[in-house]
Amino acid sequence: MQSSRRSDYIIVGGGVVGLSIAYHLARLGASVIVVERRYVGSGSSTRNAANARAHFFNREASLLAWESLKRMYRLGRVLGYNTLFVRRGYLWLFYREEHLEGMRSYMKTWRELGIPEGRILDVDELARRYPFLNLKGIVGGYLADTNGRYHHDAVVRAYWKNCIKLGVQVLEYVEAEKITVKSGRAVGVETPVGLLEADKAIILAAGPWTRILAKTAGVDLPIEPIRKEAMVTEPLKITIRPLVINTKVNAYAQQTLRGEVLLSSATPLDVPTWSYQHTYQFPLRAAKAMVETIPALAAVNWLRQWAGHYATTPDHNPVLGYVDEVEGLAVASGFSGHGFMLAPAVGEYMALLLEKGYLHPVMAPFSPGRFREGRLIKEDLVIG
Amino acid sequence: MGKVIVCFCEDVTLEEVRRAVKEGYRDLEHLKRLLGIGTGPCQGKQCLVTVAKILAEEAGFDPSEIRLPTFRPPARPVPLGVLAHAELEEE
Repeated sequence: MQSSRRSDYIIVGGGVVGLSIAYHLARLGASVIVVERRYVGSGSSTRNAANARAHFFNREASLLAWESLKRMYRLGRVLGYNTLFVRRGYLWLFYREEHLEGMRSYMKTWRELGIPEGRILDVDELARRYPFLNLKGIVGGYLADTNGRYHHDAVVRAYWKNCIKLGVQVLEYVEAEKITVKSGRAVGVETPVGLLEADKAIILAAGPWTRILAKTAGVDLPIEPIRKEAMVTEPLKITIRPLVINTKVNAYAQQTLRGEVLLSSATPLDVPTWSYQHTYQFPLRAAKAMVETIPALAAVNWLRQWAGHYATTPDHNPVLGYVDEVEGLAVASGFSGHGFMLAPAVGEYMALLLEKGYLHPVMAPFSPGRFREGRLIKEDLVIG
Repeated sequence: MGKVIVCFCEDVTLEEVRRAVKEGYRDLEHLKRLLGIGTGPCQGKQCLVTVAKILAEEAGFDPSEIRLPTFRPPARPVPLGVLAHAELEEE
């Protein structure tokens, strides 16, 4: 390989987060090498359900997600590659009055933050708009039609192509093994193809593997690899437009852009594990929950199930910025299931921090130091 | 020669695979995600080995170096209603 082993930045992780950071750094004129242990996108970027929303139940995450969603809307135009974003909306179905009321009151918070707050739908309107729903036990719904879905592979390719155009080296099947620290400063990444040296900083965007790499530099980050599963059916004409969330059992169903029904559900087997092994319990549980919610799904053929990770932190919010323990080492991980949708804003803000020294106020609450300092981000509302 | 279909579920042609390899997609996972091969009802049972061989020829790889995407359940399509009514045992 004739390419350089030295650059301003080394990014570990060729998923959407690493590529978005690389793209924004390269746009600011920096040289960047991205190392990916498998193929580009091979972790959560190819396993995620491809939804983006602005509506979280704390201010910090809602603001970051809204900034990212706005960028997601125009990403295809900015990157010159169709990322297939559609505003399908998110529909939460509530089975308990207090959850509906909780949602109604939290809408004020979103409005205060300048985020389109969506609206509450009563049972009659739900029946009219979504005749496929079984409304038994449902007290109302909440529709956020600013939210939507993208094509995850198209988004990854869009960033990847732009990175290459801007001179970023993206090395696939090269595994980062160890961070080299010299006199308290992260200076390089050891790999099977040799030491890659970083003049400015090393960024860990390796999903749950971020923790293992940070440990080689003596930094402990509380990120757990929680396995999550999803499944998909044969494609059908688009009928279920929004992402339909059953808050009683924490399951959802939706149609992909080409019409497959994608289902997921929380299960007791969502445990910390490095394994991508699927379980036989998951499809039974997800099908039971969503066939009850949308009875016509009973006749639809299931084609595939798979597993991925939620890189989960103690407060279920990401870890973004420089670590305190070692100089020149930054992190963008621990997204707890929301990394893809946050990548457009996070890439931009991380590049501003790294290349311009500007810590964007929307990103500031997510500092790696918050766990040690006990400044965890609190959920204002818990549903389900 | 007319169109040669390599993925019957998703109507992907030999020409499309060759063009993608030329563009630099030299991994079955990338070809799958770009072209949709292996994502239809057969889940790659008919096409993935064929596409692996085309990739090997076009890119000059040894076919044994090419990794196939993971095969996952179900082995054949199953209606969701069957799953929904199965007994769920939690350990």
